[in-house]
Amino acid sequence: MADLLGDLADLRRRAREDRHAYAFPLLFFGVASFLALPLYAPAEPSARGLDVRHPALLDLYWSVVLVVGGLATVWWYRRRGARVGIETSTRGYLGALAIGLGGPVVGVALDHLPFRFHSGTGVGLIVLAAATVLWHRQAPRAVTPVAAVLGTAVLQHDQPVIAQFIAIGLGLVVLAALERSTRFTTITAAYLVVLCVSAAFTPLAVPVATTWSMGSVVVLPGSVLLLGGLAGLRRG
Amino acid sequence: MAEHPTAALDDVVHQKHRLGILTVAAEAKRVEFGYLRSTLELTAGNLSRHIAVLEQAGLVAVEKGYDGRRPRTWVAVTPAGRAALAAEMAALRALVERHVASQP
Repeated sequence: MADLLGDLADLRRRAREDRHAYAFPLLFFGVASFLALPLYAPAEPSARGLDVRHPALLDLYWSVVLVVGGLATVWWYRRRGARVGIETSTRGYLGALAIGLGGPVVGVALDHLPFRFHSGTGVGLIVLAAATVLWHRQAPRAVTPVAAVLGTAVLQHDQPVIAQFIAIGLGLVVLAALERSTRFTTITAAYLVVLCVSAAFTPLAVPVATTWSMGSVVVLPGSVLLLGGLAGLRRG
Repeated sequence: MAEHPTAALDDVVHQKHRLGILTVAAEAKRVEFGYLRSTLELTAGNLSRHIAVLEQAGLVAVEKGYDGRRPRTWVAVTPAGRAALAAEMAALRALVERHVASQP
């Protein structure tokens, strides 16, 4: 009987390993992060502020990256599932993508609230944590997405510089849960930690802002994405 | 007196290969016939028979389609199949625990 349970555990482990396809989204978003660096050129070479020269272009770039990257990830998972013969559900990831993209839209409404949060980041994280608990407890269908949308929107509104990385992180959390991969979960956890560090310390405050000082915001999360993607490739 | 764990074993699910099919299928949205055949090391005929038994019991859903010109059969576990698998695993673990506890 114990042998049978051991055999079943092996089958489960093999099925999970065969489903792994996380290298692609990590590499895609990692490369896209570093390609965004030139767009972080400061508004004026001598400016001390945190404005980029072409904010609309930067916003457009990240919107395109999120949409194309998200759809390409779904395509990749489906293609790999068809090729290997074991398919991962991508519905949850599509939901996370929609939430990440919809966050800034909801954020516009937050500007018109008659009050301000003392710490939008704190509120956003609490609401997102609540959404995660609701998801695990399989709360009524509408409650979890509403909490996730609100939490993401508040967080992105309070941390606009890393809003795109919050959207990517949301997708990674959902993918890691779907894949049930310890390695991917570890990479995602490292990414989230690095994102917090990035939110606290970047863009680097230097006497004269440069593209590198402004673009420092993409270096830490982008590096974790790239290294995680390479680790995923090596694993196969 | 508590019921013996063997009473919770379901004949349809308990068969080793069917348990394997359900275990693999429960890990994914759906799984292809060829993948199951190679993973479980079964012949096509044998696997078809086991899948038919599970389908008849409402534990899996079978979907036939094409990948280009290649016909493919996909197997997905149903909510009833998921519940039956969970019950079977719980019964098996209870049996193992009972066996371990009875050792001197």
